[in-house]
Amino acid sequence: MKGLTAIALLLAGCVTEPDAPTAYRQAQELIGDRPLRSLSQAELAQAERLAAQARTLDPELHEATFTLAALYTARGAYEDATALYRSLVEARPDDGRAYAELGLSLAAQGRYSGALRAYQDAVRRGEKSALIYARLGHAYQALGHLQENLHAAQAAYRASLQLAPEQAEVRYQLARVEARLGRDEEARTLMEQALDAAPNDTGIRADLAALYREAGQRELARAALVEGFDGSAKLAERLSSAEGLATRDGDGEESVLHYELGRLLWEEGDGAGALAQFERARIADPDLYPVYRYLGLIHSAEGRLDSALAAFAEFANRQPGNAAAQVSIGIVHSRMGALDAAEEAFKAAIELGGAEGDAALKLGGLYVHQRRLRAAVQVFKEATVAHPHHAELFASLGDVYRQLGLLAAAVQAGAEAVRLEPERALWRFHLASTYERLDPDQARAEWRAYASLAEDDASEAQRLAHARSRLQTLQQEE
Amino acid sequence: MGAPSIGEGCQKRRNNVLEIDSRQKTADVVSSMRILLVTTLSILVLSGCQEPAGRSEAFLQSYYRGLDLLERYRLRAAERAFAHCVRLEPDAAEGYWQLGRVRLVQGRIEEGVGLLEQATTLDPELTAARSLVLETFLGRGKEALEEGQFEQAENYLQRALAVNPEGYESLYWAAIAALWQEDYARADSILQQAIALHPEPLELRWHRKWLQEALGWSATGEFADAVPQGTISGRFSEISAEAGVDKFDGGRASAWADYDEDGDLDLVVIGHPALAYFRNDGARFAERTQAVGLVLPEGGIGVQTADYDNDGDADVYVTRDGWFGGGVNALFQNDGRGVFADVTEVSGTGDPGSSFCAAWSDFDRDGYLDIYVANGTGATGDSTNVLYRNQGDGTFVDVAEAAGVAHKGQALSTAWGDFDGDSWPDLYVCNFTEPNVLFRNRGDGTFVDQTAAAGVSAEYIDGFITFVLDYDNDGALDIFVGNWSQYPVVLADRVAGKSTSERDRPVLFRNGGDGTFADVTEAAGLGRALGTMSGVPGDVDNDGWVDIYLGNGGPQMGRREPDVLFRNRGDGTFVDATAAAGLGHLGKSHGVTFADYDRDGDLDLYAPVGGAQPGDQWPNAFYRSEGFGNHYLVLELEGVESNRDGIGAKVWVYAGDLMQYQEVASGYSFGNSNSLELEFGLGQQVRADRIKVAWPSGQVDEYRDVEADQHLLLREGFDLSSAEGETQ
Repeated sequence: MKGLTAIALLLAGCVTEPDAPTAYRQAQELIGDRPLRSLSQAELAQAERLAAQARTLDPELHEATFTLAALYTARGAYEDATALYRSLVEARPDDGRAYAELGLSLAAQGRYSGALRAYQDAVRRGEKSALIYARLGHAYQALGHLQENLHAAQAAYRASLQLAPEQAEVRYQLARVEARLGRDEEARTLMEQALDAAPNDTGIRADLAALYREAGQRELARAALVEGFDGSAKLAERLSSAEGLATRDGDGEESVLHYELGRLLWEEGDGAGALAQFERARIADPDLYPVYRYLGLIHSAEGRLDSALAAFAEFANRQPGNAAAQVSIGIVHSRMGALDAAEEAFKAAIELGGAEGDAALKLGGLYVHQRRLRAAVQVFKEATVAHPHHAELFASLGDVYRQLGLLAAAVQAGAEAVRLEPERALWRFHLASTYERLDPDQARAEWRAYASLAEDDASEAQRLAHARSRLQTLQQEE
Repeated sequence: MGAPSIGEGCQKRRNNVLEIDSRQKTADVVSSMRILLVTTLSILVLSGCQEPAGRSEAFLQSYYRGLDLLERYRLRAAERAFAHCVRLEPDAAEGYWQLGRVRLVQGRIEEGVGLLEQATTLDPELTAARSLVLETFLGRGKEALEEGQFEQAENYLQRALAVNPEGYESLYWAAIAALWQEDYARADSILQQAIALHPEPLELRWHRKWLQEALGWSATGEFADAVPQGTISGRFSEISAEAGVDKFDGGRASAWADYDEDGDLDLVVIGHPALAYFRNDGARFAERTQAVGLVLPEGGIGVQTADYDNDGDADVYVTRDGWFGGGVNALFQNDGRGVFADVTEVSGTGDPGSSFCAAWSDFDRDGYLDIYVANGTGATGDSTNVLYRNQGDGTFVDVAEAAGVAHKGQALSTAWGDFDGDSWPDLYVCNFTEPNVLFRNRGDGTFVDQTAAAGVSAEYIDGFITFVLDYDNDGALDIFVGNWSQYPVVLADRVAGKSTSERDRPVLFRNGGDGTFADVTEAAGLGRALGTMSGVPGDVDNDGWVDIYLGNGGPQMGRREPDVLFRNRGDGTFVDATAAAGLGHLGKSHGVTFADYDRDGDLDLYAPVGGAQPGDQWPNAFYRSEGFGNHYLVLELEGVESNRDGIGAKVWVYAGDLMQYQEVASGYSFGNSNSLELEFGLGQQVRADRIKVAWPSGQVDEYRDVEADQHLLLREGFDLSSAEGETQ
């Protein structure tokens, strides 16, 4: 029906052969004062058609271009919007609004450096609104891997709040920046203020809980999350009364609260409580994919391997590029004795990037377990090329070489592990063991180095005893 | 187009119609096209092509919600919304497109790329998604370059090349990555291929020219440089490593003074990230930053030297925030032995604005130096300039508002000078992308905006830095404004040998002596685009005519631009003598400065080199002048009633038919300054007939028949014999 209406409107427009101002006016009338994203698809399409028509008939009618670009933005065609805003910037170099909108279209594409420049240009041309400063803050924050950009984000958000202090979301973003700058106290205060102003915003609530948790204030974290359930229920009720999309600013999703509470409980060692929360999160939002990872971890830790496998598989399904998910699947398979399946999973993980070398460690370990030492060497060797700073890979490679009797290669790999992590006692242990069969003097030196590193480490007690015994023997032989 | 609302094929057809229409010029044709447009649209509509792609309400609701969240930088929630879209309609490309976009924004590159590829598989005409993959590789590659992760950059840029092996951007950035990795053979090969495919962009040819010259290969002549090259009677030698001052970072500014009072000039260099102090030990400099307490690990932008407390030693003011948010400005007080204490707080000079350049002057002529701070484009693009009045007790107070100089703009540079000859220092402020401002000092503690009457707004260019000089030896201070131009324009002008773009040139304002200035840039031979980020005047060849040295560059990782030396020919014109003088390193230079560090009577040159990005780091350059065969005088001023440095003092030197004029100044350009000693070249004159000094206090001293080739200390109110004149 809506489609027919659109056709009727369009034909009406065509029959009268509107000139540019008319086509533009018709587009404006169609849109009215509604948010663009509340328009139906047919209306959006027709508004686009009219605006494009106006623009074509009169390229100097810049308002039509603004409208067309805004319509593109409304449906996520940011690249097309950018092209139009660029043309506006060229045509009207002193128009701050064109720069401001260009900034948004660039930022939404993740082109934050360009967005930053556009926003700055907008500000220089007088567009000094709370919204522009907030967006400038977002762009700086997105480039926050450089400390100075975080400072700049801080300044921009403050400028925005100075102009409009009631913006909970900007306060929240400022809090996130403060947290990244290590100013935890300020971050918490700002986040609390933001949540006070927007109690239904689950994202703010979840992040505030995380800040509490990181500060060891677990009860505050729990309270913040639990309190959210009540608000979330009320919000859901309100939304069901058809207040529409525009009211859903609060991101009121109960699933996130369950998820965060689950993490809190899991960290506290309450597996059952955590499981219950993660299950609720999953039911509330099956797309909240990190939930599946936690479900897998909990099931795995509690020995329910089938459930763990199902959860990890679900996680991998939702994160097909996630190597760690495949590693988790492989581990469960191997615990179930399905070594072929485990091998496949680990190989898949390596294909996906190797999960920082973890996949190779597991696959190589599996081969060692199966006494397929040459295959293990191959896996570890390739992994050391891909992850040249991963000491454990070198240590494992050295260990397999030792088992194969390739002592020179074993020393070389073991020494590299020690070089990468000189304080790690275990690598010294392996190196000393290798030297035993090659060079007693070096072996003595490495045993001593190992003993001094391991002497206060209870987990090394057994190996330490062995090392001391070997040292004694070697000294006697000297 | 790939949007959820309109069928892609229909969209393309419609665009074709619109494109055809836009090319028509006459009213008749437009009218015909209207009919065509109406007909076409009607056909499209009636054939049903304009029907929406048919996404469900639930999909659209989640889709729009995701877009809304993405624009508000609520990425996790946006991610969930688009993931929901994918689950609702696994065959809809748009869901993958936007989810992929969010993953990219989150820095989850491989996942994002995977999703975008999935989107283009589902909808091969979703060109935006395909472009985003390419842009991602290019963007990540450039970002890794900027961060100095050259291997990672190489990896991404190779993937970009794989997606688009013949694209200009792919080839250009692959070549730049190879240059940064010093893999010159590969860089040359890529550039050669790029030039064959894209013969127009000058940048490719420019890089290849420099690469071949640097490698000593015979240049292929692909870049036809038409800038007229002048000669000069001597050369410089680059000795930064030998002298121990090849500080490696994002170079910013430099300042010279005899900080430890051992009789030679020491060097303070501000960089990004750190400040450094180099003690002059003769043939080498010793890095003594920690030992002298001049520690500012977060660095800054500009550094200016002045004896603010009139105790006979050189203190240091550092401007910090600039573009980087480095913190409040800092004032360091020298204890007389070259050891510094941070007195920012007690002095009240810690301006938190986006400070670039600060300039010292005794604007109220009370015998104490004041500071004007140019605050420009910072994080929020808004900052107000500050005038700190020295209260004579070690403290300062901001009087900018009351004095009428609390200018709000994109001020990057400022300079003091008595432009109207009334003995009160006036103030010129250079604003990037905005008109410059000249404030005339009324002598009662206030200033009046004299820009329009003087004709020095230079609003027709994008001024970046400024300094003052008397280029035509007429005894009136002229104004130079350096322009920062885009790289393609700089190269286009090199090829054209002249200015090709109205806004892209420096400006030389000649002081008419009557309160008005004239733009004489073209006549002076300075009319071409440069990426000037700093510059200083100095009579390099001691011929009695002040030359200009400009530090050039820009923040892009691919921008490698030489500095320029403009030799003053003494007839009102300048000529590019960079190559002849052995100058012009590639890179990007900020606060360049002249000083006679080895006291041999000619100006040596320090150039802090480096860009804005962490990966864009270069060793600073230091050029020793090997002499130009002319005579000179070096004058050091010491105020008694006036401020101790004699800043603001006006000095005329007469030698034969030469008359030169300078004012003592600290702080101009990019927050850098030459040494406070005034260098006067005398050409072939063996003596100055007369030296006249008008001190800020009103005292006027004159010296006659002064032998050339000396360093002289001129003390206010004393004659030469009692002023510890020092003959070399």
